[in-house]
Amino acid sequence: MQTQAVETERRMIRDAEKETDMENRLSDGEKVFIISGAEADYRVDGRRCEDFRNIMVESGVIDTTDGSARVRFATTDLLVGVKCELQSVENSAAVQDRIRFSVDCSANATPQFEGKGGNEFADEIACALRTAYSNDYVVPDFEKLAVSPSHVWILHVDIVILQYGGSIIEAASIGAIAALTDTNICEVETKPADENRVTVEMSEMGKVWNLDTTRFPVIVSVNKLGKANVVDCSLNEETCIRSAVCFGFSFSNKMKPQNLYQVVQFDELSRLM
Amino acid sequence: MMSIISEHGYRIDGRLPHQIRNINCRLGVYPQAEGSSYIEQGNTKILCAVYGPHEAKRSKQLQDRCVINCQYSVATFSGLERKNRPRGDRKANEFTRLLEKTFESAIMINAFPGSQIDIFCEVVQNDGSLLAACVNAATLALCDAGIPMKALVSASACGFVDSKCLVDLSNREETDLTPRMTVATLGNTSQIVLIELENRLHSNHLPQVLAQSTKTCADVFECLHAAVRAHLPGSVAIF
Amino acid sequence: MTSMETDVASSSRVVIPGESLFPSAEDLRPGKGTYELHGHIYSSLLGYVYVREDTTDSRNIRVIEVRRNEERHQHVSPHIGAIVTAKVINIGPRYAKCQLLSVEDTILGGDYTALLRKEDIRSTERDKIEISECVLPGDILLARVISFGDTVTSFLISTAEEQLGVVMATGETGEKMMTKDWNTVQGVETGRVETRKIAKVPNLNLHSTTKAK
Repeated sequence: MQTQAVETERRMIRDAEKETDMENRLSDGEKVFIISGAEADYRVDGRRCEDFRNIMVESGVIDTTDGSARVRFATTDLLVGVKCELQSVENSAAVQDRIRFSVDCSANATPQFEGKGGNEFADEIACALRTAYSNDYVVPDFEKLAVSPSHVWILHVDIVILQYGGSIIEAASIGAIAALTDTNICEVETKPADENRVTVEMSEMGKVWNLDTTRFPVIVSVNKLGKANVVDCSLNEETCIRSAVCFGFSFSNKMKPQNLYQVVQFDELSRLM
Repeated sequence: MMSIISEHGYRIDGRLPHQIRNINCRLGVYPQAEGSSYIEQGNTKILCAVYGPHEAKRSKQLQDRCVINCQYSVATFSGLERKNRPRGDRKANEFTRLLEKTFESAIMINAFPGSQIDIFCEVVQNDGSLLAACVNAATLALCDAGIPMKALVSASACGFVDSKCLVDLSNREETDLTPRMTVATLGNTSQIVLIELENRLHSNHLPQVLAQSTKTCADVFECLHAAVRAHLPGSVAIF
Repeated sequence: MTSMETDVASSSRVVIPGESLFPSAEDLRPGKGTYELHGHIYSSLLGYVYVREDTTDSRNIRVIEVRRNEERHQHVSPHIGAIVTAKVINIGPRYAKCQLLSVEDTILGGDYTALLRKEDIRSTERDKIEISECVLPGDILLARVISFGDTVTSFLISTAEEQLGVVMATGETGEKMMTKDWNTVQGVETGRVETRKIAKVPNLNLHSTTKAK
């Protein structure tokens, strides 16, 4: 009976792996070890299924940005920088994406991210963040970003992945909140000009305002290791995952399921490692 | 418009023309790479990772020596203006080739036939002298990786304004008109492994700029030398 | 590599690449981590200087080496004549493509691929070999590197010796198989028997217990 269980585990692993020409760093035995351990609530580094690793967040690390943060989750390291841009547009009410996300996988994390190697993965993370923030509830200052009918603040949030150790989407969402909390946006005044238009000027030297970030979403992914539900997977655990679901939570405890990922996505993640 | 050198001879940030900025560096910042380093030259911050030597791709493999593969990437938030793409533009490609050529002269490439060494530089904060800082970061990372080199490569950028040489330019001093030259030398000698010039410089001024650059490279070499020596005793593992 | 106990560290001097160590002399030889240029021996690595005694042609010479105490990543490359451990990735009609896992005792860091040609599998009856009767994808084998290959092919390895060949096999159905006798392997759970070119590693326990019926 035990050998049957082992055989089905092996078949599950093989089903979950896509045909790749990259070597899989873990052998079958190691994968069975990780999965069986998770099902018994013991993970390789001593955590339980619902325990997170140590999270360290530092803000204000980069001087050339308007807001920045660095997030470290044991072996995952991300840098987030926010730059504010005041754009002149035809109709500021029509500009709906006022917080724009872009993710860059630096080759420092792994040589596979060289050139365009990390673009697909980066786009998925950026897309998830974009979806999570495109919601009236989470950005209460949304209207405040439109300074006048023809001027609107665009906040560019740029994330650089320096070290890849799993849980990138959690780290990215935490980093975005930290950087946006740290962001100083200039106070501007509108003055009427010719032809029914307005001009904007800085109100006082150095006066800034900050976004209200209390409702900004945190994204958490719950992964399936065998039959166990596990959060915050390390690199080795990510190669054994069959599927995962990501949720974006806004802090007043209102749950907003933002994205559902399928099995395919995590096979691609393991191909990247 | 503030002039680059004030009438008392001081620069915008209070330095004298021949003074370099503070250099802070750390080796071994990434455990997953063979070698890595972090360097701060004033407000310019650069992270560098070295992977290799490993087997090169079939198409790039050379039978008698190893291939050096660099990537130079500037984070979008690193400068005063936001950049749309971190890499792939003409400037980044040019710097990539220059870095590759520089380290082909410095690394003992005949020791690894058929292999490839990757050097990845990420500019996190841009305050001028990027190419020089990248060369310095890459030298430290290669030392950390234990890749045999002929000597440490040290680089510095030098501009020429009002008949004076300004070393280690900051972002505000790198205007569209100032001629600036990045020079890298091998070890403490005056063997030059990299020269790059932007804008136009009169040939009469060239000897002066080269002499100042070489002297500054020697100063930078001392800083790198001290940093690298300090790193080694701290990195010995306990068995 | 175990000569560390007999090494005499010339001093706890930290040297950097390009630092001049000694002027060239008849009894000094530049070793690992050093190079000789224009009459001086220079260091090419960041590390400590070690001086090792060695004898060649009945002369006592000192070998200068630069090393760090801990080698975080071994830069070992497969050399000709080395015994390597390889895993078969796929097989074709004339050769088997393998991935090199380790060189003697050192696990390789990068991806090294090697080719095992049909005629190099066995030393007897070389023209009548069927590859699928000797190795299958997933097998782990011991082989010797015979050449670096040319620009098209990668390393060439050979198992044409008694003690080289398959040490652990993966059967056609994907199960692990243990060696049964000199030519066959048997599945651990199902008892299915297949043929391979087996490595006659001395002291290998050929009487493996199986759960076969």
